[in-house]
Amino acid sequence: MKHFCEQACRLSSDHYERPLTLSETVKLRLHLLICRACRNYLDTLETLHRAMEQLRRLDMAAWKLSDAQRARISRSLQDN
Amino acid sequence: MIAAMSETPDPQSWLVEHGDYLYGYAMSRLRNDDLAADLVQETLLAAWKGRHNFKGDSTARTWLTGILKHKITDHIRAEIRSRNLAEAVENDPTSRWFGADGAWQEAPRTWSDNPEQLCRDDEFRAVLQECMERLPEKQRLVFEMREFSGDETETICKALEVSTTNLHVLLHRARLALRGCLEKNWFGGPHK
Repeated sequence: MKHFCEQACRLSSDHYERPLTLSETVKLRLHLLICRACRNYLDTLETLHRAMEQLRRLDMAAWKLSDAQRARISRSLQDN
Repeated sequence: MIAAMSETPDPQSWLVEHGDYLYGYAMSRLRNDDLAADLVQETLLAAWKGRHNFKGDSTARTWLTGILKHKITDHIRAEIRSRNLAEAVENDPTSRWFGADGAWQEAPRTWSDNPEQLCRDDEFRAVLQECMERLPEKQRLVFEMREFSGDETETICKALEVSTTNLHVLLHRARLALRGCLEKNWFGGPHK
């Protein structure tokens, strides 16, 4: 019988993108119960997902317009 | 210039109040500081010209961000068109991860690190950056837009002119490859 891992891997990614169908959810959950490799895969995707989210927050707060950029934008607004 | 009155929209006060936010938003998507500043400028100018469209039923920040979002999407779309980025969906790079029987060639391991700590670690960021750069460009773009910038599916599909299904395929491939690269170079690499 063919292993479900390859499909489980695709579904693990898809669950971040769309609600899985009932049948997909059941198949994935049952597979995760018996497959450590796929559990690890999904866990690490989640770690990656949360790390990326956190990075975005840190970075967005850190990026600021420089004084020169700000002055340039301000001038262009005055001209209009 | 219009005198700043509390009820009158005023581009200079938008710049003061929302300039950094808009710039951070653009940077998170474009990673190019001149371009990000240019788009903030274009956004404020466009907002000023179209100020009669601002209904006041959203905050000025939300309205401005909406305009900026369009400008970013347009930019990415033009960029993609000019470079003609192609990745055949039929050519499936995920097959290297799985045997013909559908089982993992090499089973994924667990990562012990907590995401909060990870992203404060400069070395991890460097490895992450390296791994992202190794992705095929289209995969890298969709992954960045989706996971890093948190863009909506619709926005990404429009910018890259791909179908939702193709977007899901690209994200799946990007996640698989990126995770593998991180496992090799960070979690199982010289840092541990």
